[in-house]
Amino acid sequence: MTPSSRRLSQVAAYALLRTASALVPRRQRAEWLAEWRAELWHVCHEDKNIWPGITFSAGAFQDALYFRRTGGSGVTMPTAPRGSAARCLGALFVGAFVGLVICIALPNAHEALLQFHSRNSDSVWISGDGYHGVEIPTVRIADYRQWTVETHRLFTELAFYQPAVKRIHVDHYDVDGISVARSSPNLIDFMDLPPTVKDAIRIRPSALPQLFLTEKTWQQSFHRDPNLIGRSIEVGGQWVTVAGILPNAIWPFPSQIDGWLSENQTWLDSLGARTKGFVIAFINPDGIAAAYGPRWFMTVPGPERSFEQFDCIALSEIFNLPRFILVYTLVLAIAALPATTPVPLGEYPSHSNSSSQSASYLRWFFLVAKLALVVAAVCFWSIAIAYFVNPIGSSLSIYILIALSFTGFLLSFRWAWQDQRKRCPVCLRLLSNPARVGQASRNFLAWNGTEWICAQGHGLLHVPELSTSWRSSQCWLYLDPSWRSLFAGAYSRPSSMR
Amino acid sequence: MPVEPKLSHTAAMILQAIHTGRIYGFSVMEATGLPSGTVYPAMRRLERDELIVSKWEQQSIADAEQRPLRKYYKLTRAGKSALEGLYKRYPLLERMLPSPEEQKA
Repeated sequence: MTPSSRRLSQVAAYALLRTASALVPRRQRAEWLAEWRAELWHVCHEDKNIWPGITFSAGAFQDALYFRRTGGSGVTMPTAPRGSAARCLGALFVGAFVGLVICIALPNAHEALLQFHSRNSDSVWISGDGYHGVEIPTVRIADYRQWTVETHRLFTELAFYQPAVKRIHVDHYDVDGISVARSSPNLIDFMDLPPTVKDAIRIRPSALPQLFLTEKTWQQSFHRDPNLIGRSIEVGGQWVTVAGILPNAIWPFPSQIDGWLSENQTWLDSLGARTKGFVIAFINPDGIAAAYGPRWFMTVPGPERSFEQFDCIALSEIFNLPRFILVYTLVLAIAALPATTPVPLGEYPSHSNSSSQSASYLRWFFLVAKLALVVAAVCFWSIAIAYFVNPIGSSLSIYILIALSFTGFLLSFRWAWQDQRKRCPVCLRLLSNPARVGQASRNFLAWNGTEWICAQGHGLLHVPELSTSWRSSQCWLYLDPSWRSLFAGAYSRPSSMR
Repeated sequence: MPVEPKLSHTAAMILQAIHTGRIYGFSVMEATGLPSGTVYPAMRRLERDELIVSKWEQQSIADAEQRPLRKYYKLTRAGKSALEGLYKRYPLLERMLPSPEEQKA
């Protein structure tokens, strides 16, 4: 066993102990942890194997649970009332907040969150196969050449690019095989570059093709070397000048591109007619396409008197796709909810108590707050997972986002609905002690179902096994205040748990 | 009349291990072959039933040996009498866990 693996094993074992200590009541935690730490020290020093420290620490959970149940005194404590409303909302808030923090921490997910605004609404991305699933070039250079001449009524300018993995060779740098896209010289105009970057590009004219590296590539492969800009390097056997650094995720389409090689017109002219790439175009504001909306089709004459159809998708539409997907799956999940759980929340008769009305408002507020937090948590977590490694616009991230958000919304709504039905309408705590009442064979003579009780003594909830004329849905029964004496002192919160 | 706690074979092994000089948790684990998740909760129960008692060692001893402070356990009078009763119930207990001196002999 190497010293590093030994150290790692000790750190893992100690981390387990720390985690288990969270179960121990606070006033006994320090002493409990001190004893286990001392024992772990001896385990690690006397046993030369890698696992004993970890298996030893795993046993700490049982001891910690014993402490939790008994408070260390050996006397089993009364069970605390189940899930309060505040604790439920708190847990959901933490879940949503952690999701948001992860989204901010992950570059792609962060970009997906920030893209929730309209930009580049005046330009479209053109594809031969529709946007979804497009990972390979679909537009022939011949079509691009034809459109640059014949589509002035639709577009003011068109740019062509072709992603490829190129070997890159730079003296003093260990760089090999980055993804470089070769493009027409005007492509850089389509990028939403900060003015400072645009100015920096303008003041460095070069006879060689210009290479624009993404900030991520510049950071990872070139260690943020400021002297790199303006230098000539070799890319796939071709000498180019590094013209500038582009902000991350400036290009949110399929194929993560590490650098953009802005070629001259000669390169474009030299490409064979069947060479395929991607095309983006500026919409002519005075042309007919300006009124077409975010997605439309362009039909052009093809070979042998046929017609070919191309998808024209506004860039803003692609940038806003995550938001559209989330709204779409949210609506879909709401529509699908009745298929997974009954929608009625039950019968809660009005009560003579003056606080009944405010309790009713509080119950609805709790449901709305729960749903809002659930929606936020599902949105953040879906984006975080979908864009964990995938850039905005990749088909894989779209599929993941659709699957996760729909499943997440549906399951969480179902849980929220069922949770709401299992709560006391007065104190909003989860009901407990289910008791079977009646017999299934006597379903038409007497009611048959389950009876839940509020541990605070507020009432009983009758949940019928089947919907009958006795009871079609669950029904709440308020207990008279005289019953309170039965519940007084049923639960006294131990000082260690306050 | 005091009620005698019902002791399992595991508890008996732990009592015997402490009685024979294994006075901290890890040594009890080594002697009995029981996992930590069994030994420590069992020792808590024995302490609750006042069959054993724990005490932190002096800080100076731990400092001198450059190690963390350790908690030691020993049998109470009730623990010793309970163990006597357990020898009748588990006759092999003494042979299973002899004291280190007996092992060397």
